[in-house]
Amino acid sequence: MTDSLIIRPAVVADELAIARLWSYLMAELVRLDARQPRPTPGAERVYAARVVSTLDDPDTRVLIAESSGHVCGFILGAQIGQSDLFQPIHTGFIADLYVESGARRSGMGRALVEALRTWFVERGIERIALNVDSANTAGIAFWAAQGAHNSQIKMQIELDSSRGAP
Amino acid sequence: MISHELSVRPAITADAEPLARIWVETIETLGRLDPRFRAAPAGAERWRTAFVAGLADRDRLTVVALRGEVLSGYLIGAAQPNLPGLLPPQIGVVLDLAVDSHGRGGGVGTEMFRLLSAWLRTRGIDRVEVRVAARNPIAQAFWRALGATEFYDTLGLKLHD
Repeated sequence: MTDSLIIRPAVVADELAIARLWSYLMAELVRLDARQPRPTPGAERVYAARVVSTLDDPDTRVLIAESSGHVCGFILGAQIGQSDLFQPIHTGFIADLYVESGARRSGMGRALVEALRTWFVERGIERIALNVDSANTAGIAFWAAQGAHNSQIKMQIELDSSRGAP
Repeated sequence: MISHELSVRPAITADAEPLARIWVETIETLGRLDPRFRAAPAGAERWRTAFVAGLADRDRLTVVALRGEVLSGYLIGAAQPNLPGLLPPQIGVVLDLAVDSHGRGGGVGTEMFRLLSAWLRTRGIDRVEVRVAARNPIAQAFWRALGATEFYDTLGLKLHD
């Protein structure tokens, strides 16, 4: 792991950096999987403003990875409710995790996950859920290394496709 | 002669009781495939209440299938906003699908989805998302046959043993 790596809670001043990282994340996802929905113009600013607006929310945690004063990654997690149709399990959700390409394979992603995991455990969370693009084999391998297992598959149907959608 | 002809129609309140039995059967089947699926105490009662409340939701369509006069399945779909900042602005989602164990494989699910698709198209929606248990290959095969492709893997990370 990088010696100068710092994992810390996000602050309002991180808004621009979060917007930048999210725009990189979206661009990578679209490159990886053409079916990914395209962000609307300026969506990264909307996203970052929403993230910053959650900083006082006790059920949400945003962590920043900083190396030599440069923000290289972030993770966004939240405690979520659950349908009352099923046995209650205190569940957390990791909405986004991103590390700049140049900072990967340095343990930064794992450090972000570990810090968020600690926060979840302190809150009595029993299970974390997260979504990974099915085409993102590196991401799936990363999460498998953290102990995650496949729970559900989200599938998509294009109604105007010629593949047989009724 | 008793008719076993398949038909589909929008659900009505009176369907709640017989469909709750199909819901219970489905959850029990899912629980055998994956023990993480466990109905809550009074889960069926809560499902009935949610089912009836959903019938009044104009952004939701509940379709039922009948073999002759007997209910054999239901499909609950909805039109909902996509995630903020992403296109298209509206997508369709399948919230719940269940078919009586005696009626599977006979086109029941396909016919119900056909009605949902037509309803979504009238609202200008051309993309539908559905979640399927990773340990339910039969359900995955059903959706693939309708043209579905894998989009996201939902992963779980257990924090306590």
